[in-house]
Amino acid sequence: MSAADRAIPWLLGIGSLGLLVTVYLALVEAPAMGENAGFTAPEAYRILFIHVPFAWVSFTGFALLFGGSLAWYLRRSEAGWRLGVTGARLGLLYSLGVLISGPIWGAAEWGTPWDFSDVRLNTFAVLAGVALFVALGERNSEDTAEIRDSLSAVGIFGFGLVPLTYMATRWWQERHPGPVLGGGEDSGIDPFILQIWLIGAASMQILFIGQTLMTMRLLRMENEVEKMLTMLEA
Amino acid sequence: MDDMLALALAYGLLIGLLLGHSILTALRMKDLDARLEAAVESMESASKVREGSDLSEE
Repeated sequence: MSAADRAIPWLLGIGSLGLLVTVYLALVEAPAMGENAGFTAPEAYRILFIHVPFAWVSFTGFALLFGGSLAWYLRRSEAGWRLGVTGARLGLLYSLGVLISGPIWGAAEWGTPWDFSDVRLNTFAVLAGVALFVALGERNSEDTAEIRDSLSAVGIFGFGLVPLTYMATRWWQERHPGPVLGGGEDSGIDPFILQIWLIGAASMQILFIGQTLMTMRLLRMENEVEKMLTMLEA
Repeated sequence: MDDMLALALAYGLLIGLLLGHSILTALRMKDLDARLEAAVESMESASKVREGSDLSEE
């Protein structure tokens, strides 16, 4: 067993523990936010303590999908392909978290779960669609170089939505809250709330690294089984 | 949507999502381990049969 494989349970354990601490801080220690703080749903805002880390970490998944797809496309790297598939699967998992929690918070805070005129919401949904397409395409198609090329191309071009999604609240802020970090004079956040977000993001990132190593191992094992079965059939 | 209901629903679903993913991945890992072991055993027995037939031919 490699050092990376041995680190998996530790990373998963530390990440999960950190997430439990985040949930405790978000639900118990963080103050309620009334109308004076600009919220109509004073308790539902606590969803954001986990929604925001989910969103940040989902971008790591899209970055892996991009890097892995590029490595496959340019170098025919097997490890690159596995990394891209891992990025698609985990990018999908974390973007699902964002797409579940966001509309629930929107329903409580805005009175509607979705606003089709908001660019941030729409580009993020398409980004999740890119991850879904690559993840399902890889699982349900024959494993050929042509299929890998097509899925990698989707992963590479789909990544263009990441900077667009990031900048959307700066360029066309509609319904989704504006940036709280690096968003100019109007941005900023209570230090305690920021602290909980950072603990949540760090914990989720550790969990994500553990999940990445585990998924890469799973894909390696799948490959080994396939190879052995082909040899047995021959 | 009700304030507290939204909070409970979101946390419940997100924790369920992460737990569900972990359980599914662990089950797939276990299944693959079993398939890998079975494939290794089949290869070993196939090579023994081959060795046996080589010896009888000699």
